[in-house]
Amino acid sequence: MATSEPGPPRREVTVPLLRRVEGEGGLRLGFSDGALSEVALEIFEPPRYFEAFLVGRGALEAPDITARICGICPVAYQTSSSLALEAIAGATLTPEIAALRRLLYCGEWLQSHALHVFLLHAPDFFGCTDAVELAQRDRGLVERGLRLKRAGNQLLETIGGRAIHPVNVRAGGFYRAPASAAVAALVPVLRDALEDARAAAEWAATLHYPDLHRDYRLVALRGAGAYPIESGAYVAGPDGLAVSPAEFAELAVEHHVAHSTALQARLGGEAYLTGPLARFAHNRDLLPPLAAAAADAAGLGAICTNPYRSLLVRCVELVAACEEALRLAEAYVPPDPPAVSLRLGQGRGFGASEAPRGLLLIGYATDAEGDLTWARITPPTSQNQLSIEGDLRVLAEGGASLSDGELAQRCEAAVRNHDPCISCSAHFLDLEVTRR
Amino acid sequence: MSGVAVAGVGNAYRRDDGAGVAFAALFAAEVAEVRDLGPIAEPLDLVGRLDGVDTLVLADAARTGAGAGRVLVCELTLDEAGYGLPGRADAAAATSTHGIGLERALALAAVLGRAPRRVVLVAIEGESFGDGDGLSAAVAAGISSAIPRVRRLIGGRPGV
Repeated sequence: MATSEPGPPRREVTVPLLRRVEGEGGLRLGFSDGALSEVALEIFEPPRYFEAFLVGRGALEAPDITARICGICPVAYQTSSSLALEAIAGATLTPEIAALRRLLYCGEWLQSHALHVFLLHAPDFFGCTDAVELAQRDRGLVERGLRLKRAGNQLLETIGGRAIHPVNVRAGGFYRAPASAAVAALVPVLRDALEDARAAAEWAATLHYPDLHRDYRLVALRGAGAYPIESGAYVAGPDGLAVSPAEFAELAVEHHVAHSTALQARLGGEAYLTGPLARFAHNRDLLPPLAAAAADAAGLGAICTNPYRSLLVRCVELVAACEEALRLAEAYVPPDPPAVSLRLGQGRGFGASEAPRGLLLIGYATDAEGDLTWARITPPTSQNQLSIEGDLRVLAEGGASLSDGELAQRCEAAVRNHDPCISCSAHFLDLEVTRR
Repeated sequence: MSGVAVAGVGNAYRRDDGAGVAFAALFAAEVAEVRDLGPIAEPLDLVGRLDGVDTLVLADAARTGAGAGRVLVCELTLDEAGYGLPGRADAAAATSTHGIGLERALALAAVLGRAPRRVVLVAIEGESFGDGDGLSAAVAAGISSAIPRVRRLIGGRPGV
């Protein structure tokens, strides 16, 4: 009977289902002989083939179809899709339409950031299982989060027609401009929300954050004179990178890895990070005044590379979103017409906007009839996966002496730092069917 | 009928999935002083709409294998232990944003001190959940027949 030498002691730490993230994923750490040998953020949601089934559809259908990827950030998908089609058509929005688009997008930031900060992320800082347990400890905190989220819902309901998957957005603008009175009714709601957001930033500045600093390669839109939300002047990145979304699409190369149904993007072959830390780093000087003051008061410098403190940066961005939304609502002039018309022929275009959790890049190609012949959708979580795995690697290497449970809990919380939207990320580019 | 509200859960563009929304609209129309909180697409949103609600009628479509249009009505009463819903301290209870369901939303409302004293659940068995609006005939009939039952349960008089 053959015998074999015993292999090196192997230890595996597995979190089969990540909690308090959007979508379904897990993580796996492997140690051999005490040394970290494997880190995998496992995304196992079924791929959904959006890029494949968009082909052949009329291009003007694309914003609504693409937005079905996510119920948390549909405005981001509608906006990046619209920008891509507007690029193909060479269309320019009127200032009134552009302002309304930004106002709508502020609502999504409020919804998403409030949900993540108060209901999904904050429990980690108090050792709570979830928001219900957190509410037992600090009722006012969770109430504040729900009020902010509700303000975001009201913005989307008023401008978009409903709070989830708004129906009023089209390439070139909107189907109908909301009445002035309806937008004016948002002003007191947004004033209250602004106070809640400022209080949230003050609260977030008091939290104890683990001391972890990472050498991220940060990528975000650089705002065109304002903090980037619905658009930007260009994509900014490491080493002075400043490129158009179309150029960035050439540089950000997506790969398939065995442990994930999401593609992983690399920039120059390396990991990079999008999201609030990246936006802040490239645009701190463009924060509106109250948000800038909140950042100063919280002790945030020019750049923040501690992933745990993304909660604090998100709170600063909540202030920015409220401040911008209030300014836009007070100055609202109904766009007339509510959309510019697009003449779509053969072409190819890219659009990029800042989804709450990071840069969302979308590209389409159209034929002479204006039907889609190609689509590329690169969501933030695909771009952030490698950097998240980098965080896990650092934590696992420093925490090898922890019990499996402690290490799993620490790593799971580290994933939540980046507010991953796993459902968004899970779609392959190509579907090949061979019939014999 | 002071402090009574009704909320329908579901998507009216998915046929019988809109049964709860249809029930809520009909109930608010037929029973005076009942406030319709509007369609609830996201359970967390319900928490913010409960101010001043003593009794909440919560209607949703169900798919249990019972006959289409069959309506189950049951009542939950709030006490120190919450609504007596089965505990879900497992990971799934807090898994994701998708996982913040009605049960957790009601638990959160209870902790925040804004939970209704009574919650009357109305589960309407559907048969068609495909694209499009309009309810199956059996479901529409079931909703109509359930209105007086629920009204009696919450103490409303016909015509009130």
